[in-house]
Amino acid sequence: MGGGKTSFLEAVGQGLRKANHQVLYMDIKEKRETGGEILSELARALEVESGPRGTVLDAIRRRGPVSIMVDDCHNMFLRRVGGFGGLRAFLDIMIHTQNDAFWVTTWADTSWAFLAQIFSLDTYFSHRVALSPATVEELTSLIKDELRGIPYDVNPPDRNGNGGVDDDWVPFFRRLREESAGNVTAALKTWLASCSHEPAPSTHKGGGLGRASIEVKMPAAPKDQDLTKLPAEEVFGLAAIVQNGPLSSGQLAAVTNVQEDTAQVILTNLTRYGLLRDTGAGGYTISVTAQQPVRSFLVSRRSVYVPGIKGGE
Amino acid sequence: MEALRALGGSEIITALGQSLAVILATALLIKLIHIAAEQYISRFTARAIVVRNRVELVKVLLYLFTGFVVIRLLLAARADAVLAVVGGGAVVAGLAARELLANIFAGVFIFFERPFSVGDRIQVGPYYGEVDNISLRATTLVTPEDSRVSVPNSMVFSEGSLSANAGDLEAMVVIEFYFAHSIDISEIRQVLWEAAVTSKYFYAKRPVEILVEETPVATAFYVRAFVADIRQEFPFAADVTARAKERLKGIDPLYPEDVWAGAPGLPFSVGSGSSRRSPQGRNRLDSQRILEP
Repeated sequence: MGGGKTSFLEAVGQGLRKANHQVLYMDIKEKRETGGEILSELARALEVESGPRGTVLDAIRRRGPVSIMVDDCHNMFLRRVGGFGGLRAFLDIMIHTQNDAFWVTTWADTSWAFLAQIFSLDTYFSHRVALSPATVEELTSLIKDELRGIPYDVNPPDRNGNGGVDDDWVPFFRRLREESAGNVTAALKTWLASCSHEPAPSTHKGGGLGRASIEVKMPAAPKDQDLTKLPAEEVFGLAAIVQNGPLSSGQLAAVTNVQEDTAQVILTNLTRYGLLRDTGAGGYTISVTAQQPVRSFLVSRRSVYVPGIKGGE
Repeated sequence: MEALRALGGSEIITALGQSLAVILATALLIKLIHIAAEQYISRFTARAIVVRNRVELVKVLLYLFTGFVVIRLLLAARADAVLAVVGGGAVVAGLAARELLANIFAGVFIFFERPFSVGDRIQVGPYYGEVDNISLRATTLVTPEDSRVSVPNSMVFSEGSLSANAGDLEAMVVIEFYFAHSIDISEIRQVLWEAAVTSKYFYAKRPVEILVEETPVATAFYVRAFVADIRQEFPFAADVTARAKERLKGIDPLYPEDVWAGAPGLPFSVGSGSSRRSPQGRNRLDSQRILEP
């Protein structure tokens, strides 16, 4: 299975439910730096009043055997002084309820690599599953599945009828995989961003819309840009976002120790280069097509340490 | 000039001209190699030290080759004449340039013995800095104040040298803090640890350690962490110090009150902040108690 840690977590949850296990699901959607915030999130998931550590521990123990799925755990910390309170509180609750709850958590790989190194995070978990990037065939199949559901005539031809695509489309999907680093969500977004709507030809009489078509244009990949020419502060900004996840200008200022105005300029510039995108929720994240080149560049510059990424050690 | 002509001046002048041309061509070639290497390094930072060391090796080989060619040219012109012209002056110059020759021989040994290489942070006598260039005569260091110091190669042998990173791009940085005995050690350790691991210069591949030492006048903390590039040593120390101090500023008393900077017999200047620990100091720390973060 390729990519999608959220899909993986849901699949695990479904499997447990089918086996009549009690399952709770939590998604840490935004940065939660303090222990109090994490305790509140846990209390909400447990459907109890927010309270101190003891309240949450009691609530978990009262539930009896329960599986707790926690998605996007990398949002439990912000890489700044005082930014680990949320993570510490979570790990504290987790290790004190290991006989009462089965914890399944998901992490962004760059955050995991950082925390595993400095926090010995891997010692808190008995098993670790690294989701491998999707293959070209998996991406092709997935995108074709998506296309079946929309009223556009853009199914890549499959004259062989083997569920794949014709040979002349293969390089496109190969490139798509390269740009998305095998991440299914990123590949889908890239695909959708690549499509421009062509209105249906007006040959239909009677006002029918017919089947419109889509012209597919692969956007210019940021890897074609010379990232080595970025100023040091912008490189630090990229590294901070790769390691922390989406950041607002205030959070970036705190993480990189610059003024908020400067942080905003950094974010604006990186967005203008096509390296970042606005998440729409006040934060900025690495743009879909920039994932692979930015990570490789940062690892090669030793700004980020992620074992196994091309360009690193 | 008359004597030179009598000895076969045109041959010697031609040989000298050819030698000069060879020397200039070598200098130009070395310059071009430098430019090409720096361009390559700007794209592939991680290979900086390897490339710079290869360049230095190529330079030495070119020097030796050029010297060999020049000697051949001069001897081919007319050995006895060249020796007659050069010989007398050479004795005087040799005596005057005894130091220079010592430096050159030391330079040759540096190239073969490799006690340090370009890109290393080293200490030679009172000088500390990044090795920028190793020539046959001197080793150029760039100090933390961004000054260039030309250290004669003979000094490397007479004074000895200490390399902080021994050929690696990454390097350990030790930052010292001195606080009042009354402070909460676990709180300070946590803040210093967080200040180190959250620094934008911190290299997460290597471990970070906070060491604590009780001294008669203060509780000393040593942050031992790595930077990805040794050139970030001082920005890292400054960054960690600034953010740790910002976080700790509410604690009172934070610093020892009954001692003063520069007091005779004290092992350090008391007060706030941090300082780079020299490699000698780092060895001293190895025997001390290590507290896990």
